[in-house]
This record gives sequence, C-alpha cells and structure tokens, in this order.
Amino acid sequence: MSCPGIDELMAWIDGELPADREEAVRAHLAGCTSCRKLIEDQERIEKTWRESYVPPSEFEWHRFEGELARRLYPEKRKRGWLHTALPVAAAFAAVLLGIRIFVIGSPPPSVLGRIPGREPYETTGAAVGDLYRGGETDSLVVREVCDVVEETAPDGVADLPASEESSSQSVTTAMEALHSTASGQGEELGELEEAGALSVIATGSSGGDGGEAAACDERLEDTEVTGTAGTLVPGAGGYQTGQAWTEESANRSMQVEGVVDDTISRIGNGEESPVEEAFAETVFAAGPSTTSSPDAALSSTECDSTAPAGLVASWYSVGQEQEDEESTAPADSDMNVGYGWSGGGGTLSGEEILGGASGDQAEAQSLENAAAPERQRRDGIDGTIGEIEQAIAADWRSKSVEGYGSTLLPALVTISFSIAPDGTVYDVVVTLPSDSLFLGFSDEIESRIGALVFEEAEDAESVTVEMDMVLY
Amino acid sequence: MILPVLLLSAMDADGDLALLSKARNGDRDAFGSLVRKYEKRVFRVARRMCMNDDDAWDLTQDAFVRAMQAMDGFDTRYRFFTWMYRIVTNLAINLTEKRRRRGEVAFDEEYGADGRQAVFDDVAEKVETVQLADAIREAVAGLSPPLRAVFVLRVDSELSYAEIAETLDIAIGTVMSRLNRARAQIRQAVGYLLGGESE
Repeated sequence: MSCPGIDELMAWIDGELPADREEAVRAHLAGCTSCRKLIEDQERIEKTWRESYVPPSEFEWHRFEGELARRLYPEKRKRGWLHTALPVAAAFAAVLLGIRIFVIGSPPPSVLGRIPGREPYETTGAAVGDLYRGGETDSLVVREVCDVVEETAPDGVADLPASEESSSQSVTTAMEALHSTASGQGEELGELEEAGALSVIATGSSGGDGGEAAACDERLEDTEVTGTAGTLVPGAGGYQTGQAWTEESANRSMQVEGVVDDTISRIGNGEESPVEEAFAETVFAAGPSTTSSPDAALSSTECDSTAPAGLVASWYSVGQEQEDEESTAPADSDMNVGYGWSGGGGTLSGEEILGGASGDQAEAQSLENAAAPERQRRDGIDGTIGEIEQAIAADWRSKSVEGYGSTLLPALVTISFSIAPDGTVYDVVVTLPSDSLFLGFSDEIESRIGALVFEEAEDAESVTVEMDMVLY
Repeated sequence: MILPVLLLSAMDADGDLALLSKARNGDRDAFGSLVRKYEKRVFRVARRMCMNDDDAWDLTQDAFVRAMQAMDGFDTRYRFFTWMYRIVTNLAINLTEKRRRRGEVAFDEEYGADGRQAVFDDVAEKVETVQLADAIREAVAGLSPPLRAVFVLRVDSELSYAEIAETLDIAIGTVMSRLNRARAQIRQAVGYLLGGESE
C-alpha cells in the first residue's frame, strides 16, 4: 500500500477522516516507520505548543474583568464614582468635623458572598452612603437627597431642583443649591468660603427604596434616620468626576482640613458661632470634594499609620443604637444624640459642639471631663476597629498573587458592624461597591473576620460602626 | 457546513443563545456570564495570535466590547463561540498585519501568558522541550496571520475543521490546505530538534 497523502495523515491526527479511511490509515501506520515518524513529530510539536501555554492568573482575570466592565458600562463607572464620592466625602467630612450624625437601626441584609452588580442591593433604610450601593440611577440619588432634604431641612435651607435628570449635572445643581443656601447661614461658613476652602452644605437621607416624600415620614419612623456631613470645595466647578488628582488639589484639601479643624476648635472652646445652629437644625449634606477618586479623598484625611501596607485609610462613623422611642424621631432631633470623632484626632462630637456653643470656657471644660469615659470607650472601639481593618486588609492582600504585590484593583469597601460595651463585635456586613463588577472576594473576608464576630450581643447599649476602607 | 450548525444552534445546547437574548434586553449579568464563559478561550486565541500579553489583553477586551456593540445583529443560526472566535481572530490578524507592515515585532521573550514558562518534571526533557517550544513559537510567529489563525484555532482551541471554517468564513478545503501549510512550515522550522527526517 502506498503512503497516504500528507493531507490525509494530518486529517487522521485531527480525527477528521471518515471511519473507513481512518482505519486504513491506522493500518498503514502500523507498518510504515516514515509515516509514523511524521505523525509522531507532528503530535509532539502540537503537544509542546499546547503545553507551553501558561494561562493568566486569577488576579489578572480580576483586573481584566474590572477593566472590561468599566469599558462596557461607562455610565456604570460614572455612577460608581458618583455613588462612591458621596459617602467618601461624607465620611471624610464627618471625620474632619468630628460630627456624628448617623443614627443607625438594623443593618442592611448581608451581602457577603454575592458578586456585586449581580443582584439588587436591598436596604432597610439608607444613609447617603447606602444609596450609592443600591441606587439604580443617578436620578434616584438626586431624588433621594432632594426628598429627604425637603422633609428634614428647615424651611428655606434648600431650594432643590425637582428634575429627575439622570446625570451628574443634577447632582451638581442640587449640591450647588445646597451650598449656596447653607453658605449664607453664618460667618463661619462665610470664612471658610473666603478661604476658598470649604462649603458646608446641607442634606440628609432616609429610606432606601426611593419613593415619594409623602412616604418619607413613615420610613423615618420604622427604619433608621441618617444624615451626614460633607464638603464641597468651591471654585472647581462643583461636583466633578474624572479629574486628575494633583498636588494643587491635595494642598487645597489640606487647607480644608486645617480650616475645619480650626473652626471646630473654636466652636469647642465656646466661641460663639452660628455654625452649630446650622448643625443643630439641619441635616448636613454629603457633598463630594473635588478630589476625583477615593484615593485622592483618602490622601487628605487621616491615615492609620499602624495599618498594614494594603490598607490605605479608612473612615468610620459611630452611632449609638436607639432602642427606645427616640429611634423613631425625625432626623433633625436624632442628630443631636450622636457621636463622632476622628480616627485619632480627638475632635469633638456633635453633641459637644452643640453643648459648647452656648457655654463659657468652664462649661466647655466640664463637658470635656464628662466626655472622658466616653473617650476611653471610643479608644477601645478604635482598637477593635483597627483589628478589623487589619484583618480585612490582610485578607485583601492574601488575594494578591505572589510577585504582583499591591497591584490589585483598588476597592472601596464599606463595613458595618456593632460593638457591645465588652468589645463584642456582631452584625458585620461587608459591602462592595456596585461598580466593582465581577470582583468577588467577600467569602474570604467573611472567613477572615469571622473570629471577631459574635452573632448576638447581650447588651443593647452597643454602638454601630460604618466604616469605609479603600484597599489596594 | 451550515446544516449541523443550524441544528446545534436551534437546540442551543450550550445555553449561549438564551444568555445572548437576555443580554440583548439589557441584562448585564447575562452578558457577564458569556464573558466569563469565553474570556479564557478568547484570550488564548488572542495571545497565540499576537504572541504577547499586552496585545492579547487589549484584543480580548476589544473583542467583547465589539460583541456587545454588535450583538443585536448577531445571526442566531450560528454559535456564539465561533462568532467570538471570529471577532478576536479578525482583530488579531488585523493587528498582526499592521505590525508587520510597520516592521514591528511584538512578542514576549517568555511564552507563558504571565511570563512564566511551563514546568517540566525531567530536567533534560525540560531543556529539550523548552528549546523545542521556543523554536515552535518562532515558527508560529513566522506564519502569515491567516495560516496562524487556522493553526491556533485547530491546535489551541481544538476546533473542528467545520468550526474553523465557520469561524473564519472560509471553505473546509481552505481550512485543510492552510492547516497543512502551517504545519509543514513549522515542521520544517523545528525539524532539527526532532531528530531524523520527518518528511
């Protein structure tokens, strides 16, 4: 039998020959060393070629999927920034101002283990920060902010646009309106304005499911009431995204920090100021700073120098859980009972600010003394928070591929948990931003922080913490 | 060629058409599922065609972006994965020819997607295999893009002749002739490492 053609031999390798020809070629190969050598060589070449391929690591796929998601859904990214910037700025300012305006009820359902973006985020009530996680459109955020401000802010505080335009411009407009109104409330704010550094603007938020203002009261009663504080740096076009983080903007944010600290100190010393009145009567707004990224915002706030390398910084607000009827009170009264402090700065709480405003120096000192036990308690909580931060950061780093170090995509993670007086931590919820599509790691985080979690707390006088971290 | 394809597509045995239908209606998760299902295969074709990681990542991303943009016009008589292969192969051929015209050479020194080489148990075999793999890589890089595409789709993606024909929109006979030419060129290029005369 003559040798088959090369086409037929190759087709035999590929299994593409009809059954009768396949058998014939097989029979031929049994007795033909030259054809067999050709087949063996070809198979070796192709086996070597196939095996030389080393697939990308899972890390690289995470990165790819994140980039692809942002490219496929550019509006998603924009929304992500919007939704991210709000709580970032809010938390940033809350820390700077030392004002606790969160009153948190039952935490939202756990989202541990789910892939962000794969299912709706259900809130049991919402802080502004919740909206960015669960909001479906920019207009929802705008409407939520506007609705609640209309409900909770004193008359004339804000004249908000009713537009439901789904764009960041709506947010800009809303923020500018708030900014404009709030900035007229006192000399302190005016000073900050003149310093070109800061506007304190007003808004608040409640209820997680959108809805009409008419339903707002109900939601306030049966869920939580939230508000927060924020900053809007004027002179840069209002709310903007996508700006490069520059040294100039960094310096400006540092100026903001300095001015705010100074203002808070003066308020805490009992110097008269109309600012605390605004704080007392208004639910403050989350206005994004012009820093364009969480990283940028973070770089201007306090960083935990003891944190591991993978942890850039974190913010947190802590609230006293309300188990009595106070918890159903509207936002503008609830905010008076909150706590707040900066990560290590020892700034004053909203309560202290409010109390100190009408008293003299001795009164301020008295308040300071009275606050000492609470400060100790906070220090303890700080330690617990630090543990959790480090556990999560370590977990995040453990996901990195050896040799790739810290090149993982940055991710803003919000962690909510409660701490009992004995330090017991419970009700931990880790939330990933909706724009980190495909990026799932929460099972690992849950496992890592599991040792710190106790499902039930015996003492009702626990505090609830909401903490945002940027991990990279 | 089309008939079995039509039958397969009609059954939608792999569930891709159902996902595609959802994706067309704006279901991002459905498209995400398709991405996850095929991203590795698409990347491998891109990687093999471009011979470097950076281009491969870009092409893979471009391929899915184009797929999303064009999915409304996708002919559901065909299979989604051959369509994806077609997109990425065409993108790779275009890029390769563009680079070739410009005299650019862009392939990694290492042939692992992340710069790592495959590990072999036996040291002697490793040396020999690494040499052979290196030679094959150079030989494949020397193929014209149309020949390389057929070779990659057959050897890496393990597509049948009919699937390759569908992917590249060419006749099965053309697939066979291109594949044989590609294989012959590679055998000739690496024959000195195989010992003896292979043809």
